[in-house]
Amino acid sequence: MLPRRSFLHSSACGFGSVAAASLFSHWNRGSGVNAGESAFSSGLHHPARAKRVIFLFMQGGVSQVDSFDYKPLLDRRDGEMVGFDDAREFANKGTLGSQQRVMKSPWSFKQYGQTGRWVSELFPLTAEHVDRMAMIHSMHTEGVAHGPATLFLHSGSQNFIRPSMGSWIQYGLGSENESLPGFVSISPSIGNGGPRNYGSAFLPAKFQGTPIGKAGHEGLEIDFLNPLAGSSNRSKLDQIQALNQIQLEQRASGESELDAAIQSYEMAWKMQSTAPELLDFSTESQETIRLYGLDQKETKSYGHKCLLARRLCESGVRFVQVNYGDNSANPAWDQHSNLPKHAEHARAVDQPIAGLLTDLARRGLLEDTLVWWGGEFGRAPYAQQNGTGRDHNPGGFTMWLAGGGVQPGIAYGRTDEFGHLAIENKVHMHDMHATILHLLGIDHERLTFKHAGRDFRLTDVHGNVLRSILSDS
Amino acid sequence: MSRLTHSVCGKLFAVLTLAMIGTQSNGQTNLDVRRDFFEKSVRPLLVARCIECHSSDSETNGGLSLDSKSGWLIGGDSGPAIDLSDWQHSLLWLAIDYRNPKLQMPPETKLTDREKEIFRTWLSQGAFDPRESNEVRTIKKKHALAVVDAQQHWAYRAPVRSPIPMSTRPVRNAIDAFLSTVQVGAEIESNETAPQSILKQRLFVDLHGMRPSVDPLESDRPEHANLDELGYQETVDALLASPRFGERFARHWMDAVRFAESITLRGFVLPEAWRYRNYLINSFNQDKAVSEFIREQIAGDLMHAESLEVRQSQWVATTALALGDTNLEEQDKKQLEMDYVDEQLEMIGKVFLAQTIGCARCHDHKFDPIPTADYYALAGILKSSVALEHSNVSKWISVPLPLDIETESKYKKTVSRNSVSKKRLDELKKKIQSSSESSLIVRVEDLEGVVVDDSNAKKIGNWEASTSVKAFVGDGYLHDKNQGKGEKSVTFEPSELKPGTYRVRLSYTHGPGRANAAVVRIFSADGEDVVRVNQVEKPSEDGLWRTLGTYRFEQGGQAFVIVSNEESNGHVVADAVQFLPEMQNPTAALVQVKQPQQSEKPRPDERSSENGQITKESLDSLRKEAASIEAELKSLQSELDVRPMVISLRASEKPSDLAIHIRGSVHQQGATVPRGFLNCIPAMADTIRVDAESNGRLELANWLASDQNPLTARVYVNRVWSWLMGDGIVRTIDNFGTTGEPPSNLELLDWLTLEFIAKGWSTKWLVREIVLSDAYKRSSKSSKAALDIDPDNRLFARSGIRRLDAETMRDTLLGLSGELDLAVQVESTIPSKLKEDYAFKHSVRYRSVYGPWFRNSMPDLVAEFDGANPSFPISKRNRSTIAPQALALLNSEWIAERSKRFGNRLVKRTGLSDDHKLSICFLSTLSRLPSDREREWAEGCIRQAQESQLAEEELWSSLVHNLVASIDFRYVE
Repeated sequence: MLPRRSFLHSSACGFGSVAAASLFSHWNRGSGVNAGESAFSSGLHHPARAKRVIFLFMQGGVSQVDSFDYKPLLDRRDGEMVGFDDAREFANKGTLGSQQRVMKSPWSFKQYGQTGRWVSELFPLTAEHVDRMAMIHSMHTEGVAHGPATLFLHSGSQNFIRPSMGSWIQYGLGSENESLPGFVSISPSIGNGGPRNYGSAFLPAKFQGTPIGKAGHEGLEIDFLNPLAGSSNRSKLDQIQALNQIQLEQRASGESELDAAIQSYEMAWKMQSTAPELLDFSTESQETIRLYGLDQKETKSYGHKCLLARRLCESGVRFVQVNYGDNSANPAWDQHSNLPKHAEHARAVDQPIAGLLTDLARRGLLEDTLVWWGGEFGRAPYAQQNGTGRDHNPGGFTMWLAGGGVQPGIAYGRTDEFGHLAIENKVHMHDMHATILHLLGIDHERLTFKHAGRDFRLTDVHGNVLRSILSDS
Repeated sequence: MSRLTHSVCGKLFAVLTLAMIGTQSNGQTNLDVRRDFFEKSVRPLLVARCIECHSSDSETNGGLSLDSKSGWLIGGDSGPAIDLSDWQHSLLWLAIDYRNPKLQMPPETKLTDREKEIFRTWLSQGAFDPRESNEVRTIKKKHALAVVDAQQHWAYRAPVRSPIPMSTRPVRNAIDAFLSTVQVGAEIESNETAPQSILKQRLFVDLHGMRPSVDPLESDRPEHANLDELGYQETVDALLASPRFGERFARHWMDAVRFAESITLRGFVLPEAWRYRNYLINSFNQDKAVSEFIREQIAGDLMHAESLEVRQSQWVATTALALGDTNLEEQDKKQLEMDYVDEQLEMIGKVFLAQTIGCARCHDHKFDPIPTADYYALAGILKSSVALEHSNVSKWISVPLPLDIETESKYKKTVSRNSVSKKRLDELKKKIQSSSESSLIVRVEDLEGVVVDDSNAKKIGNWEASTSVKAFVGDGYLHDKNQGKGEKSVTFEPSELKPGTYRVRLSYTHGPGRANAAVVRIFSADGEDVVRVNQVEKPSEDGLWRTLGTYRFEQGGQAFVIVSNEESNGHVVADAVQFLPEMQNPTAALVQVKQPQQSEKPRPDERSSENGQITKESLDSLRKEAASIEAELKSLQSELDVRPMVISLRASEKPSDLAIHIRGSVHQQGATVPRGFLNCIPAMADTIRVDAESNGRLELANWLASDQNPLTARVYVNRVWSWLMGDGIVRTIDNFGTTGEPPSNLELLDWLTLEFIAKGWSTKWLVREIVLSDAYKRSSKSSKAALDIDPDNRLFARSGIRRLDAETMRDTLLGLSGELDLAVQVESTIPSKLKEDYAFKHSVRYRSVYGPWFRNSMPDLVAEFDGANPSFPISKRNRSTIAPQALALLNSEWIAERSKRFGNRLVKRTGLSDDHKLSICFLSTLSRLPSDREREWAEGCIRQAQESQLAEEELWSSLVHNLVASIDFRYVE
């Protein structure tokens, strides 16, 4: 059994038996990225290829056939009625093979980079980075509706309460920076599972994600981080700590939990002093501001979040999720009708994402930072009910990875000729989870936690690492 | 082998041999041909595409190995892979055929057509396979305790009454005697009794979930006032008699049964869940027999009741089974129903039996004697009740709360009047509409609500604009020319629609050549709805509109209507769509009544003139009547809106046994198992079997709450012990299985359990017994020797320190600010119109137990200070000590505000010296006076505040804020 696991398990229980050392163990593994050789920098089970992950979450489901999965056949057969196995219909009625009207993409495609990868005009700037990316065209997942599929994407389960992927990673690797949380979700949505998507479920609470800001709200704040008026200096804290010291000495019991409580104030002070710097972009150059699109009203919002993600990564945060979404039941990219609205969303994220990739690369961070892009599912290549939009499609869609340990410039897997179902080298969401953990130096089958009488893991009893997309080390 | 069988075999063999010889060709025997085909084509294909996962020397997936003939004949968890008598329906063929999304092999990439053809040939010719299994298929090594051996494990044996041991040490009661024997054996000294002042803090926190406050400001809490005069035992009795006790213990139980008043997905509010909370508070305060308490929560709706009051409380108790945080949006409703049952079983297993039953959903329990058959025997019982009404997003069941006969019949009348009047109103409207002269061309601007005209709709395919038939909206309407069926659609999508409920109407021009069942789809927050519109008929409303239905639309959610020309004969017309805002009435929709017979006789005011036209006068009177009925309906509806409802289950009309779901899949079913209970527990005398026609839940309830069930009472006693003593005698509170920890003192657990049963399953007896023991009263000092021998305090020789939970902190803080309202049995704290729990602003001043407890927005402090996650049963809260908690104590505006209000109250009291005020600050927060060092520290703070010229109230509020942030506030010895 993994020593870490047993020790965490024991520290999660008990009445006053928790050792201060274990309470703070996750803060204490080296400070800052450049401190380098912390105990786990070489990975938990094998050498790590990535130290951290930035997940660019496209909530609602981007259409693959309108973005990165070019299917010229859609143009040729536009308007034809063709039999498709529709996922929603199968879930509702158990029937397959209904007639649907093929709908071509309203956007033209063009080849980019040395690899000549086809990308639609929705993502002209991101497309400039295709040579850095590993395109996974054969994704498939569980859940036909947003709620279940979103939970599945984050926690590997659609119906049960499970820890989020970032929590598992925190649990496995700890944080690299003692004064910052190790798992951050920027502007998370409160819909479709809300906090459960960054929650630690049965893992100890310290592994849950820290939200910064919230969907539908421009500000990027952390709860309780702003000092109350008139207490921004240390004197208030000094008073409390002096009293705590007296009380500790007055007590008969020498409970280590009390020491831990006192230490937690020092940690809080560090966070309070460090975090505002992170959220303050005034030190960024004009060039960087433009790079992320902060100077344009369409791209400003997501640009802010991407820039914050880079800064968090530089400070040692393990898992940063940058959400593009909202709080509705039919979030952002969910174009059941009016597919052209995809253009609005693409406009908002294209430059920020391209800027982030450029910035990470030139700072050398892309070496050991894994960037992961995608939504909870894709969209169908045919018109929903013969209308003007596309319905959900969990059977085939595209996600891409770039950076830390991933082969640049490759395309993996294939959907059928319409871009509907993954048919070649299929990659289940569990496989994606397994692969990301692998890149971080974690064996997904060995990262387990005992709960309700059995060992749980992110990938349940599934998941295969996609070895052929890994770069040679 | 009998002679007969022998001879049949012989004949069969002869026939087969003949058949094979008969098809021989090219000098090769048929066998050679098939062997050749297998070796050249099939074997390489199996090796390349299947055997990596499906071989006997790998951990075979699904238990299936394809490396020998016996491998596929025996098959895996789902049964034989190839059925030679019906190869086209064999699992192997279905899997490689890739048509069923739940069964596709190989999982990554489907076979090429050529590869599939090889399998087709092979299978259709009888699947010749020369490969012998190298080894006899070994039965998988099993670690699980078999059902027949269940009695080897302590928890499945009946509790045994041991005599109370004679102790060499002085003991207070039986608990101390049992503990002391073990402590003496381990050579561990038990701690001395803690001082009275500390003990009383402990009692208040454990029994009431509040710090004692002896501040004279708190005149509304008599049990606090004379604390000093009361002896220990009197204090215990006073605390047990107070309603605060039920509130505290209900909160514990709410953790266990994952109580919440909303659902995570979509944030749906459960408006009636509060009744269950009050049921819990009541039950603990009345010291209801726990056996009854358990029975009611499993099958209250099916129990006999002597009085209305009991009946109501039984119905409310069953809410326990309906509080799961389920994914109501799951599209596969079979899957959803089984997930729902699984959640209920998980809860029942953990809370009442401390068994991880859920592990047996997909396979026999890996460790405990719970086979999959037992899981489905229990699941069959729960499945025999309906818990959900299905639609795109399914909904829990709400039923009217049983009321007294008079009120019931009053509601019945209201419901029937409501429906009669509605019908009459519809008739009147039709008449008025058909006779009134509506204008023939309606301008969009003149219409109510949000209107999308065809000119603003998105058209797919070739639609013809027309103005030839009136009436219509805007400049005209569209029709499909009765051509290109299935290729055309018009999408009506408002550019902006405020969230809410709308009646959605379609306008079209009618005529004989029109489609008689045009397909119209409405996309709303509730998903997609299809309505067929007969465009031959005149639109019933104003000769222009036809109501499609009433739908809910969310902020940013889908809101559009598609008119399609699929499956139509005749012209499909699309003119405009109107969204009319409406108030929703969930209660009314749930009440089903028979339509009363309508009188056929025409009313006098309906008499028509000869030519079928209604006269002006009678039109006026129709309008008058319609108006008065509308007013009546409004008042009837408001009566129905306040009808009390309760979340419950509905016993299904046809209870039935369930089939085992192979590997938990709803789409692969095995043998049916009769409904029943866990077989690892010996059959009990007073438990009836589940009859075929019985629902089964009542039997389950009786089985659970039986005196003879070896688990239930033990599990409850251990749970209560852990609430008071910091940890259980069995520390794995919800796992008494073989993977749980054994009890640290089984004799004590059994003695308490049997006494508890003998005392009528009385919680208050149990609590009293525990808190009156010396073990409860020990100090929390831990010597090095004690830590060496028993670091985890499993022998209870000392006391653990208590940490205030989030609710206790919050309640105490509200007390400080003078805001706490100690009302008991508060009804719903959810604002009446609230539909979703997102970003809820908690401002309730009642004790925290009264919530509202929302899954998407937890009350203040609860998320930070390890509140129970209300999505699954919690037996022991996390106990984390992390920086965000310190940040909350330092920076939370909510805490600062409470401190400020305290400061304001304090300075309003005249005639108090600073010294006196200082004492009040300590008494109100730490329940004690300051020590000398603390007094000195406080004076320092005051001096500092005065130097920075802080106003007096700010001075005191800052001091109190510091005390709240100190370790002695949160940790009670």
